[in-house]
Amino acid sequence: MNQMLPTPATEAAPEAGRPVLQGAEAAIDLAILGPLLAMGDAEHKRALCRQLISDFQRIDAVLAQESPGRVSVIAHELKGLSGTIGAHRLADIAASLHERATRVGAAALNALLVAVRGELARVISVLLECEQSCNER
Amino acid sequence: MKDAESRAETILLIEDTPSLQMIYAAALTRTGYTVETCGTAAEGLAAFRRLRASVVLLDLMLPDRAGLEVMRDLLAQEPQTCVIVITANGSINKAVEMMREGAHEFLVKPFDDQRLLAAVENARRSVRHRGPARTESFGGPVLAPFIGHSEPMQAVYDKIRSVARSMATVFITGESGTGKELCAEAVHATSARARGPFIALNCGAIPVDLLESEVFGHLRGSFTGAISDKIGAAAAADGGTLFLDEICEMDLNLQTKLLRFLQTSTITPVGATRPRKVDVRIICATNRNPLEEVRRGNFREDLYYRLHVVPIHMPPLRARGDDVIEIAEAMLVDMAREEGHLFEGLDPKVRELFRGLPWPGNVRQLINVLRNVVVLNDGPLVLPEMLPPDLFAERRADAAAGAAPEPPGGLGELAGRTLAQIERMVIEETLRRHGGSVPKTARELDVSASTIYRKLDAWAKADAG
Repeated sequence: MNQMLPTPATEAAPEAGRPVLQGAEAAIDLAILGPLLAMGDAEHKRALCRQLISDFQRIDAVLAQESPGRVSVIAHELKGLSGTIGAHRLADIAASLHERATRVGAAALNALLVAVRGELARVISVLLECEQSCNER
Repeated sequence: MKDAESRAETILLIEDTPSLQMIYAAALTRTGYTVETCGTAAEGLAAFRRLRASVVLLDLMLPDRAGLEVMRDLLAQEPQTCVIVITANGSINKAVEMMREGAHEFLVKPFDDQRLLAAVENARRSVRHRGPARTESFGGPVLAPFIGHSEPMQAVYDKIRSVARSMATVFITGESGTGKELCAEAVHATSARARGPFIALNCGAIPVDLLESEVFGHLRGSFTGAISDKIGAAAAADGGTLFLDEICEMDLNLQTKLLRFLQTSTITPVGATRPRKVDVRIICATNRNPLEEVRRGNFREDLYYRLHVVPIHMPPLRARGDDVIEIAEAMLVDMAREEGHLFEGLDPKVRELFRGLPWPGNVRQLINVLRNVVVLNDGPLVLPEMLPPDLFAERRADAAAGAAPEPPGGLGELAGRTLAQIERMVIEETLRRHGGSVPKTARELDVSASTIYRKLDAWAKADAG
């Protein structure tokens, strides 16, 4: 259960034998992300890491615009993507954002966006570590 | 090897999130499939025209068009295409709508690669089993083993044929004796799973304490009396169809387990610690109004929506026009042969009587009446005096327990009803007089036939809950 709980990536302690995804234990469920990365060769792993980072950064850029209609649509995409890689907390708050983006006022929307983008940053941070590890090998 | 060759056929993947494209494609290619990926509806449709892929994975939300529209285009070009819809939780209602429009299956994000592969494999199996032979066998005006050419039944046959290519859960409603199990068998027989088992389980006929074991099985020693391992109906139906009759009788606790089974495609027998994957299509039936049971708290709402993907309402015999005569004469010949008596048909007076009876027990009641006649009499015709006396005492009002209101005998019977109810009574009675013919009914009522079809469709949906 602990591995699904989000904690700041900086607090994640290195784990012997698995240095790459140390932060993943906080923001991403390794039991889900690991097999996805292992579905192909080393190039697939690198390419998938890069693509995930790119997609999450693209989504973050849209969220930064704070347009309720666009936020709702992109939150739907974020929910599906984060759930697929095992970023459960991000998936949950993205689902909440998707449902509420067009129904709440600016202040509440902003609060939701702060939560989502904060968690999104943690997930991206983990994926960057992962990509770096792939490049080093 | 043959399987590997067949996997060389390209699977078309239409998904706008590049990472997800990569993940799905990787899961498929490492199993031997060739995958073509597209990020927009326009690209997907262009690729489809070029590839004519028989299996398409389609995301519900695309940047340039709605998934439903894309699927309609795909099916309009190639009706045999198996479209697997990919959706996030929040859009399940849309996915259900897509199943009704002809999607083969839907996958809810996030899903694992095993689920994805199972869905694609099911779709490929479905494609392989399709062909001209089935069209010849099942494409006629009557779908065996049904008897009857009435328009309400033609609508049922059409629905069975359309749902055959899909993995969608079918929810059959209808009064007792209308042929719900026959309908389930027909759905199974016309599907790609026809060679697999068809397992029927009557949830109302099994004590609550034993039902879980009957559905999911049990291990030896898991409870008092479990003297050996027992395979449950869900496991027995692996690769085929599980028909759950009288689903509304199912205990609420077991409904929770059934929902989990539907969501995960896994079963855990009583006493077992590890779940097991099974590949089963679910068909269920009830003679109650399922939505009403949801409102009363007897049936889980989430399970209802999970099951109620493609509803089929079996019309009562009284709404099937001359089908009652067609069924009676077909059954009469069979029964006479079985009983060693000579019967050739129905006396005209009996025909007239049969057409006007309410048949609250529907086809089952008709069969019982005929059996009674054949056993106790000799032909060649069934005469009014051969019929059980209580049949004459039945008035149409006795059928009030059914969904359709009875026709009025005078204005007094109309008082107290809503205009919508009266309209339905008039239309149904006129249909009955014209043997179920919508065009003739429309002419007499001075409305267009499409108006009648639209109303019949709306009533069928309302009756089905």
